[in-house]
Amino acid sequence: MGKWTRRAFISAGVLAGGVVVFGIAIRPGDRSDKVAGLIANDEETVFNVWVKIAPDNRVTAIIPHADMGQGVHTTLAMMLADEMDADWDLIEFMEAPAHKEFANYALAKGYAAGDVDFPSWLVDTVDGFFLTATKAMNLQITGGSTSVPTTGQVGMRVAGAATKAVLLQAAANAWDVPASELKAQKSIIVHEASSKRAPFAEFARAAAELSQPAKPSLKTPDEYTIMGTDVQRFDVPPKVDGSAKFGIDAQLPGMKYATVKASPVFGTLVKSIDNSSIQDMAGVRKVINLGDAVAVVADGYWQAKKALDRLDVEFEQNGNESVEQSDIFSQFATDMDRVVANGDEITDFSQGDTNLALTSADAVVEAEYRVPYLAHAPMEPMNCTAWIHDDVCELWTGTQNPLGFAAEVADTLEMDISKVQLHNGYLGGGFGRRAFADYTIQAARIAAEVPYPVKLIWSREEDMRHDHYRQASISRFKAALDSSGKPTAWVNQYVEKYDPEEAPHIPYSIDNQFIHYAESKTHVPWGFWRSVDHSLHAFFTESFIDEIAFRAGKDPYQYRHDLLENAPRFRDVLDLAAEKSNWGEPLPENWGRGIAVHKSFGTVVSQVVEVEIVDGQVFPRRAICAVDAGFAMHPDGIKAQMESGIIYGLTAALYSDISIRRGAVAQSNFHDYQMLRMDKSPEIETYIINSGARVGGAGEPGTPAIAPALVNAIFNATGKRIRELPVRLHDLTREDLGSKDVA
Amino acid sequence: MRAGHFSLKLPGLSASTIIMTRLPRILVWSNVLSINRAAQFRRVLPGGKQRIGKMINLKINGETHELDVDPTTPLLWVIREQAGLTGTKFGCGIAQCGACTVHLDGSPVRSCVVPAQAAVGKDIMTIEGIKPGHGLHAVQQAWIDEQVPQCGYCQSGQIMSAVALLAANPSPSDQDIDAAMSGIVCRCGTYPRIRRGIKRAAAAMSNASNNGEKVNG
Ligand code: FES
Ligand code: FES
Repeated sequence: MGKWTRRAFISAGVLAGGVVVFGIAIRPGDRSDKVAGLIANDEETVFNVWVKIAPDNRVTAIIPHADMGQGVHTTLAMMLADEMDADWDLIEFMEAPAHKEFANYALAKGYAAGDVDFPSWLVDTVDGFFLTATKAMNLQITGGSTSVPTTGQVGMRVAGAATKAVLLQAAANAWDVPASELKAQKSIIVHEASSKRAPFAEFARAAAELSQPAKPSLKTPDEYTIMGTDVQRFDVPPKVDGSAKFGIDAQLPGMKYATVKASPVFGTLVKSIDNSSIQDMAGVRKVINLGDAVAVVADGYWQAKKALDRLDVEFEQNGNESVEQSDIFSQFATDMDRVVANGDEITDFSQGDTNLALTSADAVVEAEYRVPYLAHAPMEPMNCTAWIHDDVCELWTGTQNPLGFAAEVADTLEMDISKVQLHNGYLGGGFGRRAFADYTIQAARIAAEVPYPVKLIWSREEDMRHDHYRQASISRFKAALDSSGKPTAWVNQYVEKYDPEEAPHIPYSIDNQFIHYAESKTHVPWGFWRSVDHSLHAFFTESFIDEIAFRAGKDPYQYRHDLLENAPRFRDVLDLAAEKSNWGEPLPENWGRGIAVHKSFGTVVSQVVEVEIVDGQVFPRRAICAVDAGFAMHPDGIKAQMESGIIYGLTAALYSDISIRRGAVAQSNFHDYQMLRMDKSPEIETYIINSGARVGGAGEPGTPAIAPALVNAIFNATGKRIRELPVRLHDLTREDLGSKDVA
Repeated sequence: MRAGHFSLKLPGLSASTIIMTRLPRILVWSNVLSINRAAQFRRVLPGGKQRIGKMINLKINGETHELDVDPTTPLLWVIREQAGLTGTKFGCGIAQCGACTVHLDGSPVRSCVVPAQAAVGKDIMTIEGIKPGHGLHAVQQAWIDEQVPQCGYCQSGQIMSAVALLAANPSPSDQDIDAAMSGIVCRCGTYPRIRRGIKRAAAAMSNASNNGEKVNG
């Protein structure tokens, strides 16, 4: 079989004639040429935007998501390879270019369609609609734990199965046998009756000319050969020898370095800059007033930082200079009271008649909880290298949203988006922070002022003080109990709702519920923080259910179990965590055990924490985690994400608070925004349930339940109920525990 | 173009390339690898005047670099920006996170707070230098076997600290591991795997030396 070049391949009309992207033909003309040019080498055959085959039989999965440690490149490639029956050892991946053609329409569909079942998720009109919508929205986002549930389930697997179907059909045509007699085994097409065998590559070109089935049949779990196994992650080897390139590692000829200082009080502008103090500093090239920040460009980061520290900058005032954290909590409380007094509650969820249940209750339990603002603090501070040359703006950075960033830069610089080229590196942590383009826009604006490439690096202090923060909040509860201790009413009011909508909802069978909230805006910028609203509501609801159980005189695990009669997925996960933790076995003195269960992003997680209290310090010694993500595509990857989510959540629960002082963030670096470290890191055991439910996410669901499990364990150890995070604010020394502070 | 690589070309762009591939499964920004360091690090005042910086010699991973630096510049930035070795990472700049850990004469130090001058005449070892001529260091292999890294950003610091720990203490207890490793923050929470990785590397190194094999450690 002859070789063909990309040119020949296109002129043969394969793409122009209708290479199929899930039922959508890529439009003929320049655009298809461009698409092929973006992803294919000479001699490679492109099947759709997510898979191509090389003449030596290597299959490349084109992954439209960034890897920030969750192993998504590997997991998505597994899903594609399994449906293709490809040889795992011949699978490669590349991250999809930050180009509109590769907009991840599956993600938009996941968000927009929610759990609604289409007659088929491959109906042309539906896909066509979402592809257009997504491109308009510039989506190619990694976040919301959607990569596997949406891109993987409705993208990669379908792409793999459709590609296999046309490969088999092409071989069937050539060998003149029915396609049903053919099968694929490790990238080889086999016809058993005639003992014919051929590698995928042999029929790649002919297959690409066939129309791919819009509804290929997908494997059932018993047919999986790669999904559900523990393959090694692609990204690990370069991460052990320093060769992995993160955004901050970009190096360009003649590159200079910049660092910035924005007004400490959010939203105020630069009033004046006096350069005289840095006039004779070596290596300093330029001071740039960006309006809301000042940038210094120098030959090295250190020179830029030293100059910036010495520079005299005055900022305007905007009225927020006197805001303290206590003012923010008072504002929340006032707004919560006001909406109740005025009957202005915004209903989140309501069923039954809570008033009636409360009046006829045997006992009423009330509690109020608070959580602080939180920063993301990924280990790699915000940074971006930008270079404007030949009418083009090139960007090197780490982002969860490459297309969105390119679009924002194009807007800022008033350039056409086709002239903005973003190169995405590995992300040194994302957690939601790298969905906000502020640092990339800054870098582009600085680059616009200089004739050379410039690498903008934020100091850790800037990173901490100019994050987009998880909201602070207050949550108030009232529950009615009947004479047996069973809850008959659940009333919950909280402040500041973002996303996802269901975060405050509970799985428990309680007849009368009223969940509502108040709005109370502050000047502190908000951002998606690992698990978003789940990160606070799991703490609120799973602490309160523990308090009710205690008041009812019941074991907190058994109490939950009994209330989950109509939520079998939750109950199974809870039971497994309890069983694996030897729930009920006695613990040594000063030890305690706590449990919590919560569903987020389609995945149910239950965690048990064992703590030891030593001289008032909390040591989480052991964490047991049970997780049901429907099906664990990459079990070791899920375990790693649970470990990560647990430690991220424990860090926040034990130590983290971003507090506002004189309008600005008081914390600045890891000395005052502490991290959980090796000596306080618990042993973690993760147990997986493959329930067969719709596949859920993994990156975020490990975080929400751990804070309540922790405070419930502290209560079990000490009798002290912690209702305000972080735990660090509370005195847990022995003397303080004379009287048990109970619900 | 090499097989397995993928080149992204857009009209009007000169060789802008992002490559992701398996074998060796790394991300390479190919057009940015050759650096004109001389041009990059001329010292120029805002007025455009040239300034001759102090020349110092630093021995990094066995290779001597003659560098024009302000000798008070922290070693971290000299390693990353002037020697071009980007495996050593910036996390906090104030000795709080350990991302910048390198070895000075075999001891782990926070390069973000060590002035370049203080490293003159010493052996500086970075993550790029711990791989022996053949194969991987036992710690690196253990990191792969345990699938330790997540985002990977802290891992150079973790590995440099673990290598130094095992060199000084071939069979560390949990307390020894806590003491040696608690200075290195991992925001992704890979601590349980780091602990397992250290124990696995320790076992591999002791097996190898018991069998009289050459040890990568
Ligand atoms: S960068 Fe040196 S310790 Fe954090
Ligand atoms: S692996 Fe991400 S910070 Fe450690």
